[in-house]
Amino acid sequence: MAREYDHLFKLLIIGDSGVGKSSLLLRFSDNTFSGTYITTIGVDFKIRTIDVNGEKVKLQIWDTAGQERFRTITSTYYRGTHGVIVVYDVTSGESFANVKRWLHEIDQNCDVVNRILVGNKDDDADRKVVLTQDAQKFADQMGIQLFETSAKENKNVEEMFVAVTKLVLSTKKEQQKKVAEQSHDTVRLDQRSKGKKTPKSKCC
Amino acid sequence: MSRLRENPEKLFEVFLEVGKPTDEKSEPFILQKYPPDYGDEEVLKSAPKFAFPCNTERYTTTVDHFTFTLTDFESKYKFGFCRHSTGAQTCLCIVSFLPWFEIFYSLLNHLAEIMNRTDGTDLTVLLRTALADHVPLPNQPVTFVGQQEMFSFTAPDPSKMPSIPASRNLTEYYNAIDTNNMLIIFASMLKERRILVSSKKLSRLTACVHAAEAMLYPMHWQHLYIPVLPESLIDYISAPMPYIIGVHHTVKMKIKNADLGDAVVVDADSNTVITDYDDVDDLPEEIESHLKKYLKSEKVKNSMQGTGDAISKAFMMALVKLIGGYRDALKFQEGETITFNPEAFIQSRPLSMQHFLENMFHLQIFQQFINERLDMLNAGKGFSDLFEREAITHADKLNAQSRYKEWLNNMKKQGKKVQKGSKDIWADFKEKAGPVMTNAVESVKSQGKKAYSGFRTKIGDLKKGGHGKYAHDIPSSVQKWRPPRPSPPHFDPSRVVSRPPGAIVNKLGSSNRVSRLMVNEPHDDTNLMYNRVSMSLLNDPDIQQAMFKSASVENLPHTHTDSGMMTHFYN
Repeated sequence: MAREYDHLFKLLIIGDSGVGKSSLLLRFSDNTFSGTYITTIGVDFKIRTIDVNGEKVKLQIWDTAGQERFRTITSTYYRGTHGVIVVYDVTSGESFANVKRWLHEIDQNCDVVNRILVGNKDDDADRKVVLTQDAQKFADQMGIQLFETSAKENKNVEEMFVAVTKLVLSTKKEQQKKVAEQSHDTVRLDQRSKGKKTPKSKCC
Repeated sequence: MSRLRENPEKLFEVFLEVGKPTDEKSEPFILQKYPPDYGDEEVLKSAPKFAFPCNTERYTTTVDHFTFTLTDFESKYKFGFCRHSTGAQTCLCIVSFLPWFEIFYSLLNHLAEIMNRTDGTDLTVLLRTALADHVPLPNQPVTFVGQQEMFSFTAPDPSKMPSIPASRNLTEYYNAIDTNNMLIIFASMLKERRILVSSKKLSRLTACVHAAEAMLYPMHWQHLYIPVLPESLIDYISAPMPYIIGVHHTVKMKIKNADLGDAVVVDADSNTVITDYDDVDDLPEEIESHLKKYLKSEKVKNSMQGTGDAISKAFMMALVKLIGGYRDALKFQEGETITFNPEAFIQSRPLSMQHFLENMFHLQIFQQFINERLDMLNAGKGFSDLFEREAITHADKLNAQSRYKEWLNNMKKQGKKVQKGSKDIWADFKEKAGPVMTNAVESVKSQGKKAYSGFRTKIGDLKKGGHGKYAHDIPSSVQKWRPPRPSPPHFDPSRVVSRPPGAIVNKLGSSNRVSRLMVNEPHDDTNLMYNRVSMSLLNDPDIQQAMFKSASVENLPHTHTDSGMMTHFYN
């Protein structure tokens, strides 16, 4: 029997309520019939398996309720995740401001987490207040990719999920490579530098 | 920030009778509800699943009370108080925003009794009466009268710590988990781990989760909080973010190790905690030894002869030692919002705690705690809950000792030079002394932006109190010009000493154990932050230091306000 997947990644989707996280997740999910429990136990997740260069990548994307009550989402929240999808609403400046704060926190305290910035509800030019160039400038500053999507019109959603999957996968491969190199180095350097510790990431 | 809904309008939202699933494949279902027009679909859909959260025959062996918790969009809790009765095929359930465990368990017993005896009319009348009233105030006695039935209770006092045996949750927790393991669970929660609790008894299960959470007071768990997770939602165990989740033993058996990952696993039946981490060892030594000392079984048992709150108190005092000093790092400037200075906070703590506290800034529970206090201060609301009171007392004790040493050293150094000018200095103090400032936590009580003027008014009031008062407040040892006696552990809190404006600015960066309020020197003369004392000697740095220490915040009048602050000790 073929393996169900080659890689399993857990991602988080964060952003104010009302920016369309659930709609994005619904577009993404394999199983549109699975209920949602976010208003019952404060958490929800969706699953989908994506094929990247012949490898099966199973993604779990997790969402929690009431994130906007946090001025910052602290690093413990991201500790067990491989990546974060950060969503704002292009028609709400406030949701963009929150996202900026949260991304700064991730940047300062979570070294390894992969991030992607998503401006959702990009389907009505008249109502758009967060300009692409501003968001792009911020994304460049943070060194992350920006996707403007519309869950409603299914615009750019697929591309965004594929991009984040590739990002997480490539990070994993890089890390594997590094570990392999390091262990190689360690063998070589073993006699000289014993007990060399790899620095622990703060939250991942 | 607390996750209880503020000021709910009703005692409870809905009463439900839920039928047990008839076989393995069927679902639990609602038999009756009151009020009949209750329309929250989310609750009606979920409550049956949570009322029968696993497929087991053990439901019916004894009467079992437990409480599930639902989390809404804003992350606020709804509690579902449940009663499985002996041999019964149904579960009685009351859904409420109020964490009044004992009261609702007792009400459920009463309702069960009525249902056994009568045709149900009396049940309806009693429930209708209960819903007609407003939520009673703390300590308020209440009686609901039905046709032939009545039910009485006294509304809980939120400022009381959970105690044994009054708190059902804490009592069950204590019966199931020894204090060593409580310490591990506490330390794991302080690291915001993923924590899974299991038990064969639903009452024990949910009691342990609720009690463990209450031990975090004055902080509140901010992550996933599911005291009992229905079997159908078992996949949620693999959530990557911090959580505390309870599952029935039979559900735990079905969890894959890979889904558990690094979760801390608590078995409440065998009193075991399995963890990959050394979270207890990571606690600052002072905190760990405090907890080990005060959680010793003889201390806990002795306390049960009296207040019964030894366990709650031990954990709270640990947090007082750890974070009570947050007040010292509040930054307070006229016309601006009060802010918190993390660096100042960490530097004001003993070296042995600093590393741990740096990590605490990465905790959601701590961030929300600070934000909650700042929000209240900036809204002009005062608060004086148990934690704040203990924090003040604790700071007083620390400072009483350090101040004496400080005085002694300074006095020795100053020698005759000071003695010569001393009379004048203190004479002047007697004339002009007024409270330099009081703690922002207590002073900002008036409304909104008026906070500051209220603060000034209070200073004015205190000044009117008369000079004589302040004169005798100066330690007699100083008046006689000898170093102060080592004995007084408590300085008179009303003692007030003025300080020169310059001294504060110099000292902010360097002082260590002094409890400080970061007050920037105001530029306008109308401000009464300091009484200016023009004495040439006051420019002497050692005198300044001595005065600064003696005028530290703890010496100033404390006014404990009654406030609307909820402290959430409802267990």
